[in-house]
Amino acid sequence: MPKRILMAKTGLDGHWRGPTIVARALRDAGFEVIMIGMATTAEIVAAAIDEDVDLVGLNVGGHIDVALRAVDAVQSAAPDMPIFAGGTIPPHACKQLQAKGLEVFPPGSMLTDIVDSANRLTGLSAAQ
Amino acid sequence: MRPKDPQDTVQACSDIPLKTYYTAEDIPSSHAQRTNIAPGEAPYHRGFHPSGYRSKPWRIFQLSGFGKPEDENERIKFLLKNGETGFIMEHDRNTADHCYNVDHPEVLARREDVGLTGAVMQSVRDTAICLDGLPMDTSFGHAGGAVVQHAPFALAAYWAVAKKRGYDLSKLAGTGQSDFNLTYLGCVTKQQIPTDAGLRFNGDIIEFCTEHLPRWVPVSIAGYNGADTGLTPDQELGSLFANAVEYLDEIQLRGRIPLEVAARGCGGVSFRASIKIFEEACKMRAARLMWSDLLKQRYNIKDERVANLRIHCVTAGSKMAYQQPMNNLVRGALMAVSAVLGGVQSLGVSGYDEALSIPSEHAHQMSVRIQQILMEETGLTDVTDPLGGSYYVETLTAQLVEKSWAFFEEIQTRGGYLACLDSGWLHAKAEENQHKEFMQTESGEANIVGVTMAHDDSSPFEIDGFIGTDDAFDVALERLKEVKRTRHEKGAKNALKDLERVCRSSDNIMPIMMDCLEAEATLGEVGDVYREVFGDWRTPIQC
Amino acid sequence: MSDGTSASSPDDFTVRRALAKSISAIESGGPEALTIEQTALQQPASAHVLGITGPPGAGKSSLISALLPHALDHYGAVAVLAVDPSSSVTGGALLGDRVRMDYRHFEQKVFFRSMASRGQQGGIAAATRASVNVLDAAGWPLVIIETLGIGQVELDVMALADRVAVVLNPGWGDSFQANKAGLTEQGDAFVLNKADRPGLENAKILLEQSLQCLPAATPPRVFTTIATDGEGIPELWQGLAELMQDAAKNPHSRRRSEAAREAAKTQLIQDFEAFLASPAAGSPENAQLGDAAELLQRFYRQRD
Repeated sequence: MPKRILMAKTGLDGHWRGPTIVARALRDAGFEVIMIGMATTAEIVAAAIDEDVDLVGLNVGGHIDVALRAVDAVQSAAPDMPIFAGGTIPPHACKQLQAKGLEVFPPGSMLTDIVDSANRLTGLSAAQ
Repeated sequence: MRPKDPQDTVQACSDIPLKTYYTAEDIPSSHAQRTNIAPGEAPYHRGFHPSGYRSKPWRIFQLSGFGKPEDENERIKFLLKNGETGFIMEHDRNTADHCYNVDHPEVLARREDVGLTGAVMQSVRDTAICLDGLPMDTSFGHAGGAVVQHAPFALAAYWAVAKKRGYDLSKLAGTGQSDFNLTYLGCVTKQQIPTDAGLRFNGDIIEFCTEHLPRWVPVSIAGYNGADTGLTPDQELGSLFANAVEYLDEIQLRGRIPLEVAARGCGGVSFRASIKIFEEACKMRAARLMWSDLLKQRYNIKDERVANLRIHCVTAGSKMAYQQPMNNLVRGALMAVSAVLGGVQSLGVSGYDEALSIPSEHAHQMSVRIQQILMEETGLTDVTDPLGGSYYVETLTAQLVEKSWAFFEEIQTRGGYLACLDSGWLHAKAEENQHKEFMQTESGEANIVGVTMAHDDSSPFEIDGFIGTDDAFDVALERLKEVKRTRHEKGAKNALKDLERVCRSSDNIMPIMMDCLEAEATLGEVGDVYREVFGDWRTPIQC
Repeated sequence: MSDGTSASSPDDFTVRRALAKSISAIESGGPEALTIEQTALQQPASAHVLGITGPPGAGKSSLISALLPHALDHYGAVAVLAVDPSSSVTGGALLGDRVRMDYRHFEQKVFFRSMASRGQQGGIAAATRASVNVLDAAGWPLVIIETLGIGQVELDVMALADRVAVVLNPGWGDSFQANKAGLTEQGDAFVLNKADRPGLENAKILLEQSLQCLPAATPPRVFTTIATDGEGIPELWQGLAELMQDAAKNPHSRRRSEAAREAAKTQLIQDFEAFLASPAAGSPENAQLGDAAELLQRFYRQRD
């Protein structure tokens, strides 16, 4: 059965290059990728629950606190749901996300690494 | 990167196969006749002016802004002090692009993002703070308003401040943006007026400037935003002129101002200066040639003040790497070289921290220094069109022109540039190219130093990105309340009512927008009128 | 309205998640899916089911987004099942319908589920039917099914919905002609969306002519809308609400019939009994069988 991944942008900045490339790579790797575009924390949580996804992908473009809030909300609503993040995330912000258990992919990350991570994370969540 | 075998195919970004070397025979004969034309003469591919940078150096023009209007003001002053020769106002994208005030639920949900990419300017009072002490009368100002629906507000705010300071609008020099590529292709916003309403806005701005601000560049098409979204150089050119044609046809249809004047207004454009030095320089040469031919053939416009395209360039932000950011100083310099070799009139160099954040003060200073070094030390400015006559450059210029016209025509057969945005056809093209480019890097076919090779995990020169200020949201919210409390409420409400009436009519939106700003109507209130009247553009992309 | 669709205490995520997980279990197929649907079918059918179909790019999602506030006013809560195609090569899918939704009306009153077709022909996913029944049993008063683009054979949505609206655009006329035999009979209402595009009048005349050829006493109505700026939406909703009320009053006229439900029930019981009799039933990997079904039953009880 295909695993399901939610892809959301936390900011209001509409650059779509990064998330599109990643979504396409994930689809090509056999995932069902549910796009929700720019979404607030509440919208991300509601979508993650309703869509019953195996993994949440956050495209982070703005201030790290906005992303951290979304991470906290997803983790509280669905503690077993893994999250990974990518985007223009400076080193200090990467560390904050990693501290919450996320795998983080800043610019320059390879798609194969992102797909590997998605496979690993959805495999783990299925085993739990 | 070097091919495995010297005889392997090497392609330019525009999908043009490159030979190992070129001779006179390679230059297409139709173009060969044009190689001896002097710079400053039609079709202008050899340059804007015969004495080029000797008579007029390019404008050092950096994107700048963050935080509160006073933070942005301080940064602009810093840049001017360091040698910038014009200034650009950046507006907070959360509020500006969507025409939201900071108390909009979408913004409240991301309050920490506010001010991260530009200052929050919700009323003419904020714009006045941002412009405080800046040389609006003697310097070339960019009022912001990069996104189409934001442009009328941003421009009217700038002009209202100028008027209040007693400047004569008819002498004010500067530029707007209202770029379709940014708005509908590169950086699709959450809410946006549909493309036909956007075209009407830009037509209104062009007409208004013709009448009241003859020295102002009303709209500026940014090929940059097409290219940095994935369009190849030939597609960047083809789509830019397809866009220009939409504006000019609209003006022609309205028949209220002379087409020559409108064409002059459209003839200030921006391109991306990317890292393939020769192809990019050729692109600038091709652009001038194409504009001149387009005006002559399609509109019978030959006036050299109109047909001579002026180009602003920004180095490619997406080419700046996250890893080993100091390498980006070199990339910035080389991309700037391509622009200068192409003979551009104005240039911005992306910060070395581009892949991490908006530029820090130091990154900004270095962007200016790169340009000063090129201008003062390298001899790049000594001779106009130094590449002219090169077998390779002339051939590639001619090939680019041909390929770009083919893309332009393909857009026409699909109903024109607006139709190609509405249908998502251009987005699909960009995505295809992005994917290809990514795959080339992924497969090792293309290298990025510090990313796919020459790794250096223990670089002592890591940087952590610029964070800006943390009080932009709070101050903006306070000021929003303040302006609503202290403005002449009835005047503001009446102006907004008039705005709604004008939006529903076919009258020019700009005079009433000036009234709105002068009556201290706020950005979000103007946005509410748009949303009510024009609805939302149906984005053809899925992210 | 049932408890599960409104409140905001942490418990509600549990219930809502159970509902979502039931649909996942249905999508995965197998014995658990059978149990869930069987349980759901024990509830009498009470939800209204509206099918929205039409070719790709006709603006189905935008139309649903624009209709949602009206549907919420009327029903209090709405569930949407949006079907998109899976890649036949990789099995992956990009499900983008949510991007077109205006979330301002969402809150907790909308349950939105994107479904990949997972190789199923007919414009819906294999799991769509059972998902409708589960949502119905869970107390969602209106279920909207958005099918992926229709061709000749992609009309399965008709058997799941009470009433079906077909969304077309001006200029669709030529290909519509080719399809009209199938389509005109399958729609209870027709929507010409993107009515600001050229060719509206022609498309409307063509469509109305085709519809008048139908044997029905009153041909289906044709609405014109511009979903993105709300034009024609109140009128369309009014028309759809009337259709749904008519379906409720005349159950035999529903496209999804009671007989079909009964047949599904019988089939399910047979499938399930066959499974219980098989050696697989006792295997350890099926030990957790029924977890989601159990949660769902809790949810049904809560509703009563």
